[in-house]
Amino acid sequence: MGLVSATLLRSLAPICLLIAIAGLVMSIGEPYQIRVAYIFFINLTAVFALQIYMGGTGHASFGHAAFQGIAAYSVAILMTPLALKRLLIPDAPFGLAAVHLGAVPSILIALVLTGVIAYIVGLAISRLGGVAAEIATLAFLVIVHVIFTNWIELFRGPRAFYGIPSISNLYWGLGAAIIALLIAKLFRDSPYGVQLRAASDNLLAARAMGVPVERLRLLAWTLSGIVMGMAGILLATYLGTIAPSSFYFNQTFLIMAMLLLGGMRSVSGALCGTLVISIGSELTRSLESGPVIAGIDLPAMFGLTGFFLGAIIVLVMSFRREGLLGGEEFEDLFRQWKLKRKSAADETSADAPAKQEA
Amino acid sequence: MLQLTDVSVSYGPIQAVRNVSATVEQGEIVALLGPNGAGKTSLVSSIVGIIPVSSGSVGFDGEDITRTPVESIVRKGLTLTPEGRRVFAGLSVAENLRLGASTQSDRAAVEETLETYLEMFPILRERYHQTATTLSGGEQQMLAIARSLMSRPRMLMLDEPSLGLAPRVVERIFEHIVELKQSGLTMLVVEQNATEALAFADRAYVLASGKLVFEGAASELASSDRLMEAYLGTGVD
Repeated sequence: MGLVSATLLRSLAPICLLIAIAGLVMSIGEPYQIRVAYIFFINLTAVFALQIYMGGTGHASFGHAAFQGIAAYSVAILMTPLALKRLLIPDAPFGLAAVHLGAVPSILIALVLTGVIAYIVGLAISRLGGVAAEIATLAFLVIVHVIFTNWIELFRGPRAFYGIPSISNLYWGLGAAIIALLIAKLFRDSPYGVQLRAASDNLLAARAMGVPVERLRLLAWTLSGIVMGMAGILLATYLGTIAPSSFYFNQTFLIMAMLLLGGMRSVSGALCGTLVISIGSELTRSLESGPVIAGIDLPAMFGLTGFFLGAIIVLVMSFRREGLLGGEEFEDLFRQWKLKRKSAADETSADAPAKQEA
Repeated sequence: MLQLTDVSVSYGPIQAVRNVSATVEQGEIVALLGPNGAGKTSLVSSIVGIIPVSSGSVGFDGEDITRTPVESIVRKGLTLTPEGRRVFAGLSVAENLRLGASTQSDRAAVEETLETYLEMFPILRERYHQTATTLSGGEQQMLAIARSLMSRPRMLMLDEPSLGLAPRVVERIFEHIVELKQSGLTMLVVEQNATEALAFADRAYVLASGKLVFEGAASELASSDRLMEAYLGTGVD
């Protein structure tokens, strides 16, 4: 069986789960819940993107929210109607104030642009190892943020960029998340992914066998940057409004918490972590305003969601470093569970005749 | 096959290897001996380009490979099995072996090579789907050697294949080395276990404090109590 068909088969269960979530929310959800589900799919796409890089290289990246921002601003600048753009960014450079493209070309250009920027930045980051690479990703995030907030002619600075046509719906989110899932799974199981994981396991041995570590890191970084761009496009074309603050520390730590909670070494872990944190934040958010539960009037606790996120990161790091799934995929866990049950069954059947003899 | 000319390796101000010139001819096993900290590992690591050579040159098959990246050197047919086994702990034996063929693009040839070495190391076939961490030390060393062989090298450098292994296991590893030699593989074996290494090597170099202090036939070194005692601490008392 080829890699692609094997991956499709192995991804069937999580894909069905995602379709079920989308179907359920679309059929019985209220607009607020649909919005929550959409944000979930955006974050899921982003977490899959982050998993491609972090799961492969074992290095943290604090810079991925920047890719989300680059893609979001690209579609915003290309797609927003000319009348609005004259109001928002009348002095845009490169004649961009007079450019208006349809959805498909805008999205394609945004993805290509994100990919090119990721590649160029990756040339430097892939050559660094360990902590140096991680700090460089943080620097990248800050640089992109500073450009967004200070290049006022093009990005409107810290003020929101609004009026982007809201063309996407929940199924876009679902589709993007499934595509991201498949890309992440394919990359993880491909020879490149295995070589990269081997290098993060033992760099020297991998080098000695001729694994081109830098080139593979660059590949993972660029690929995950493009997938991250998908998440940015989803955000811009759904909310219709973006601001530089949407692509900064809050987003960085949210998606990182999601990935770490589930376990960054597997795609299934990324899915699990995103689910748990999304549901958890919704629950804590409803507690923030101090609702009345079972006759008890709870006090308002603002900032509870942030506290919840921080607490989760601390708890996972202290008790389960490898994340909830310990770096395994669903199907691997299922196989291990089956094996364990089988060996347990063998033992009891082996015990039975022995007892009869006695 | 391999020519080192005045090779030096430095870590900042510290010179680990000083002006070493040596050769390895086609089909022979050469032992690189010396006490701890003599620079043996630095020397072999610099030959394949894992750490840079600070001066001098490395030639392989008459071609200068001093500044060539590791993957190109492996592709040319020179592979190093690094010290301390270094199997990929989280991956299975099968994945470890296939990773050894990272530089190979001919799939049929990879399968054929795999079959050859599973034949040679039957224990790896038995443990094929197990995670590499579940293997014993000796099995991990065999896996490390087989993994290097998956790149179809014409010359293999083994860095301390006996490190941390029980004497009986060491014997088995050395038998495999002899077997590989008979199959025509050229080898450079780094060892602290001087007496045993000299038993299967054709020639030997002794490195002490980064400098070559002896080169010659293995038998000559083995019969010289003075040299053995001075540099290898295994003299007859």
